[in-house]
Amino acid sequence: MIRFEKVTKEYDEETVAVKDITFEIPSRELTVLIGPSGCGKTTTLKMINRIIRPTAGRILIDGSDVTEMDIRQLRRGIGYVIQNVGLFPHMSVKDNIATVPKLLKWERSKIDVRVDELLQLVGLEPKSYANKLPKELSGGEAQRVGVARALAADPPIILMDEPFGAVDPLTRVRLQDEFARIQEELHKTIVFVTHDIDEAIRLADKIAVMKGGRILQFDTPEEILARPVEKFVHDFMGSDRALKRLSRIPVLEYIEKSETIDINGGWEQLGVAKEEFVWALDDSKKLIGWVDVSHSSRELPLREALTEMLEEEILSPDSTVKEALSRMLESGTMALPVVERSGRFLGQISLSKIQELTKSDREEE
Amino acid sequence: MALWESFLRWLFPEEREVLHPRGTLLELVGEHLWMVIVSSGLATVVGISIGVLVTRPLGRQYLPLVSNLSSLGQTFPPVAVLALAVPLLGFGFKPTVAALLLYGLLPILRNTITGIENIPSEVREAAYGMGMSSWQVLFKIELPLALKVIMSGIRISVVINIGTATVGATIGAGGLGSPITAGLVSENPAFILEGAIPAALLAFSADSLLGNIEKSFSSE
Repeated sequence: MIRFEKVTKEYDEETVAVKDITFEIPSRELTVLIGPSGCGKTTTLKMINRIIRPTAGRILIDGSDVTEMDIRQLRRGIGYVIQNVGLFPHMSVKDNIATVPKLLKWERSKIDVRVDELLQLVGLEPKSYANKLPKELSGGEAQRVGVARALAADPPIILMDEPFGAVDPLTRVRLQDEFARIQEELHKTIVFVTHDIDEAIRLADKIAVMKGGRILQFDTPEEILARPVEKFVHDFMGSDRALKRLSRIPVLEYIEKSETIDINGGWEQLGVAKEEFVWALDDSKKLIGWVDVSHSSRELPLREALTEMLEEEILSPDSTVKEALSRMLESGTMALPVVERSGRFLGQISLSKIQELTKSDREEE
Repeated sequence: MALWESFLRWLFPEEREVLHPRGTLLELVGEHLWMVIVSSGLATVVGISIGVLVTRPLGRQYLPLVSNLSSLGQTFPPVAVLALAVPLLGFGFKPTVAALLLYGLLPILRNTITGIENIPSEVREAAYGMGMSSWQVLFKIELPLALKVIMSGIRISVVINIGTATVGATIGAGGLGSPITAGLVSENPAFILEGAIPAALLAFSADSLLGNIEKSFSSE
């Protein structure tokens, strides 16, 4: 846990970068500091590893004041990824990654193993990348090496200052996804600075929205999107904040039980169905499509009332409600089935349910 | 050696003497090179040290002063520097080396400062941010990255000094300047060429040798 206690940084009387902030960054989670340029987010980040010294207040890591620690020990225990990567141009990828382990005087063989492990983790083939120089890497590859370098000595805390800011949008999304996967595996305490709200929503466990050196709101992305505390936060989240919120919610939360029918059986399984359709399963309980249950179709054999589902109309349990909504709009349906990778049918998610839940959130506001 | 003499005699058949009696070509080149090696060696040590000092947080306030002083040093004519050095250091080798040191200092100092200042700030920030000490940043990051630029400063310095060292002969430092000075005094063009041709060749070969060393750093 990183605790800020009444921390202020002023350069002179006119320029105050950070004004009296007090908050706690939870351990093993990813906290995003976000805001427009000049809001103090980078200053806040850099005070943690003492690149910048606060003018007043204290910063505590697990209870100990950072200004009382040995600065080099402190920094070697904190991974650091900066905006323009800052790889050392005269060192190979391998030597760049090995920087902190070498400072900590690890054994050569241990370093070699670790470098291979990290390159694999960030998705770069160790054999072909270890001996490259930074100038031979693409922007995305350089960022991956930057992340690997920060993770090298397995520090509990990682500070990231707009780490994916300098790469093209497509690469950025790929890096974000991969980074989210890495974090899911490693559970580091990460402080992440960005001005990109989509990036924040995609990655954050908690978001601190900053403006003019103050933290306006510090909460989970879902809360900030649902209940922004003031107009600035509201506007900063964008006009599509309802959609952004849905992108944070897994379909599993909105899933409904729904009736199914065994395609090998007959109509009598149904009784009086209220819905206009039911999901059809085969003998192995795998979803194969849906069956129209109106009276006219009940005169046909069950098999002939079946409409098979396209691959893209089936949701997996890890998709988000936003994805579900988007696919419903694409396919013009009111509901979509959620199916596990194994093919087991879990239930459905419907447009009316999404509306019902987003509406009830608005009423709470 | 005989070849060298017959070459000069062929050029200037009317001169009675074509070789200066101070020493053989090899001796003159040896004296000359020794002055250059000592002075450029000292200039390298002093130039890099001052360059490093004024790019540290504590020395940074002296950066403009040092840059100005070293540019100013370059504008003194070498002969004037020699004249000033003689009362302090006497005649011969020492004052010449002192003058050459002053001359060769500027390119090395300037290139050291440029090389270090041109390192992208994020590289330095990353190095400190990962917990390197100031010494580690200097020796593992800054100097290796500035090495190529510093090397080119050394090359310029050596080439300048090979030429300028000929002036040392006027205060008895010897070297390839001796036949040149003697030739000027006695109006003997053979003497002048006896000193000038080897000096020019030395400068060319030093330039290409050090240039190649420099290139070997950049290809890394």
